[in-house]
Amino acid sequence: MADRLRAVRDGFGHYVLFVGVAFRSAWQYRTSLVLLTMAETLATALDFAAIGIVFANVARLRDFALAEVAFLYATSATAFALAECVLGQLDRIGWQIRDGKMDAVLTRPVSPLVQAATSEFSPQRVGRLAQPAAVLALSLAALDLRWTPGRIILIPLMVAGGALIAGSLIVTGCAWLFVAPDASMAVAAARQGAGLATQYPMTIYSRHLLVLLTFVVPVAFVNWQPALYVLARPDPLGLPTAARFLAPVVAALAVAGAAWAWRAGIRHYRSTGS
Amino acid sequence: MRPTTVGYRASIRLWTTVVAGSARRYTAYRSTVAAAVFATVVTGILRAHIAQAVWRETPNLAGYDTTGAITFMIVGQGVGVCVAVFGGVIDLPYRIRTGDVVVDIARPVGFVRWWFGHEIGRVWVYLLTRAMPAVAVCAAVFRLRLPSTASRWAAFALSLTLAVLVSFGLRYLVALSAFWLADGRGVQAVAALASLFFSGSVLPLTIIPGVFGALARITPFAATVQVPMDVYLGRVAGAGLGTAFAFQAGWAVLLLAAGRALTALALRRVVIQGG
Repeated sequence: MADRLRAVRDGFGHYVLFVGVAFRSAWQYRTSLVLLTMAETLATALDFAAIGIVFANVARLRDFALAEVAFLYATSATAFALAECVLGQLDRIGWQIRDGKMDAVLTRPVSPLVQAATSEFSPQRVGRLAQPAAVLALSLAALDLRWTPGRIILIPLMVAGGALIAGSLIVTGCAWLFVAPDASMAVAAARQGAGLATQYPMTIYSRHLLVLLTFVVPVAFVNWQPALYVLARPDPLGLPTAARFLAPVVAALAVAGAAWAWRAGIRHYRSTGS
Repeated sequence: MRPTTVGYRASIRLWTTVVAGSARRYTAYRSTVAAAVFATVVTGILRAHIAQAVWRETPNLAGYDTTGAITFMIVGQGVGVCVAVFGGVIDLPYRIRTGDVVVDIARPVGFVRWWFGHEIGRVWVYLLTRAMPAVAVCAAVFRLRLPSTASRWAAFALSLTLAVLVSFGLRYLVALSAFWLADGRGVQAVAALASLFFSGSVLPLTIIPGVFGALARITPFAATVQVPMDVYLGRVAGAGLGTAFAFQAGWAVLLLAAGRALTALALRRVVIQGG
């Protein structure tokens, strides 16, 4: 146990060190960094533009108003942006695995996960956080909620839990790359699909899809389940009210699952043999 | 000088070789193909659900019924695969950075033609192994509409061909920018995003209101997914077809001419990187 704790502490220290280096290095090319950060911000703006266009044509979507869908979008996008910011370009390991470059990574006395997350870390991704965070603030203002203690506690918890679930999904997906290094497109699609699926009220999906998104790939807990409580909505699956507060538990399980999958992936790694 | 029959034959053999080589390359990694089909199915199913919800609120929005809108999103993802709506695919920037481009310049085929031959091989492979299987899988979940007449199929085929030309023209110009920019990844990323949104594969451009919508519908990106899908669904028919084809062909000619002119400029200033 003490070993495990020390490994986590070391990993965290290395992570901070490498990310600091990435920031300092990017700061050498300030114009480029500023432009790329702006490009990332604009990129996320197009996501929200799609929701704006939908609501230019309809007053409510499955009985959800613009402010409510904006809240769902913002909590999902913030969670995924946080996870993608921290994990960097983890899916690049598909190339490293195929080219046998993981050999060098595994021999270094630093966690392979930390190395993979920081090796092509792009500081400009911080720009992805700005727009969802702004939409979150605006949607909360527009929603005119009654600020009960339950809501005050649940909203920060859902963003943190959502980021952990999103991050676990990314790590689990990338662990698959040890088995199928050419499948990075599927891994990216699963991540983008999860991001897209949680931007809209889940009542738009069929029951099958809803069950899949709740129990198999538990992205419903990124924002939908807690949002049902915040927005005082009934659950289309009829789960008990307690499910609205399960996000932290699901997040913990997801992190444990991702850690197991990642370690299994590394054990599965065979070099290229060439 | 007029090419002789022998010249034609040699040229056809050359094209066939380039296209076939490119096609073999894109079929080499089976799991990549499976992953791409999965990716297209996921996006198609999710976008179709969104369209279904929107069209249930406002039936016949922008002239599509609900089945039409769902078909637009799903078959539109397939069209997006054929026109590489996610951008890139032309390897040129990578070859410029590594200096491999020198081999491409020395080839006994025109530079643009070489890349275009590659593109034709890619389009056929993507159409047969990615777009069509993905649409077929989605058809198990949603009822899709097929063009009702042979002439509409023919019009769709022509529109899709023009869409491929426009998309190649666009992506070739983006790739070519790597000759001038030390790190073209920023341009490529922005172009990919613009392509995804303004092609109409996220939402039909016809439902965007106001000036923004009017502008979105005349960009070259609109010629890659929006126009072929409107032809497919018969939303554009009769005399409107002429306008649609002219719009696509106009952008194709403009972009390909620009690509040709800029290639001449770029090859004059090429500096081979690396040692």
